[in-house]
Amino acid sequence: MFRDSKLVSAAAVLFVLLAFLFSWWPFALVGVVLAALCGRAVTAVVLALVLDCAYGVPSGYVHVIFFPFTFLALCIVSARAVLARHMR
Amino acid sequence: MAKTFNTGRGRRGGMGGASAALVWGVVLLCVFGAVVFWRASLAGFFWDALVPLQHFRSALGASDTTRLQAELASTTARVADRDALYKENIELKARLGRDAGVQTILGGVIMRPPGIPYDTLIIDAGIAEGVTQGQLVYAGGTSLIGTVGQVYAHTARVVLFSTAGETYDVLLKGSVPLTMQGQGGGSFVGQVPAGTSVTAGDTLVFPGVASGFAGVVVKVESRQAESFQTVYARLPVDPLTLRYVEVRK
Repeated sequence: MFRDSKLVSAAAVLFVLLAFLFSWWPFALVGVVLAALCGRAVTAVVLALVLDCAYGVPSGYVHVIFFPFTFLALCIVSARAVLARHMR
Repeated sequence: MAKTFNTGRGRRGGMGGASAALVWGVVLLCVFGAVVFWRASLAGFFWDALVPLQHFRSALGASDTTRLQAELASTTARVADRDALYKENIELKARLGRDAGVQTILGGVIMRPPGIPYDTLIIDAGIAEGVTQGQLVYAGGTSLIGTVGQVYAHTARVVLFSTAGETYDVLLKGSVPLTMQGQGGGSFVGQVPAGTSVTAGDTLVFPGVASGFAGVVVKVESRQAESFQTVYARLPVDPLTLRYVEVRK
């Protein structure tokens, strides 16, 4: 299932939509992480950028990370790429 | 003898992969730069599109229980505010009011925690309704809960005082100064010197003559041989059940 890129992208978008439908932002985080972990880098980064625009500049402890969702997506995508190269 | 020819495909394949990565990197940088530049506009457009959907969803999910809970949250804030104001009124009975012409903008809460992170609210009042960045936001009466962070065309983002990491100076019972640090979810924590008279139910107000009601002490922790006692407080109203707020000019 996780090799089907379209299914993964659809699931990620669905999780983000559920976050707004059920008013629970961790669903959006799950969608971004799912897309990033399954190799859908573009989907993950685009979703993360949309969420960072929607939720605005973070406040409190995470205010130093201007785009936290995008930063997380890029970290996971980079980590996945590095691990994939070392495990070949 | 069979000869093998090195067509250089492997080398070209490697260069092709590097070129593709470079192109993707440039595209990503351009997209990221555009998003950074137009972040506020994109966010305003996003929430303008989402407001009707949220209102529709709220209408679908509305029930007597939900309505009564929202009214109870509002009433609780007003009662706590009235108690604090009554005590202040006794002390200030002979004084004249300083400002009787405060303009208030009523905003409905579209998104609240846990629907949105960072302990913030999205309200359906923005630039068109006269909201500007930095204005104070009240839950009712003088119950101050936060400030306007970002303003969009018809929506605005309110940053609550209880946001984790944010610190504010308040007065305990109107006289003892202390610094409260937000813990998220409407909770604060602060410290006062050991021996300070403080109990659960004491009020916290912001400094100033036209001060706002900041919160209520819910727990006090003190240990022997320590110089300070820890004070835990909460916003005067539960942000998870807030339905309307007032933005004051």
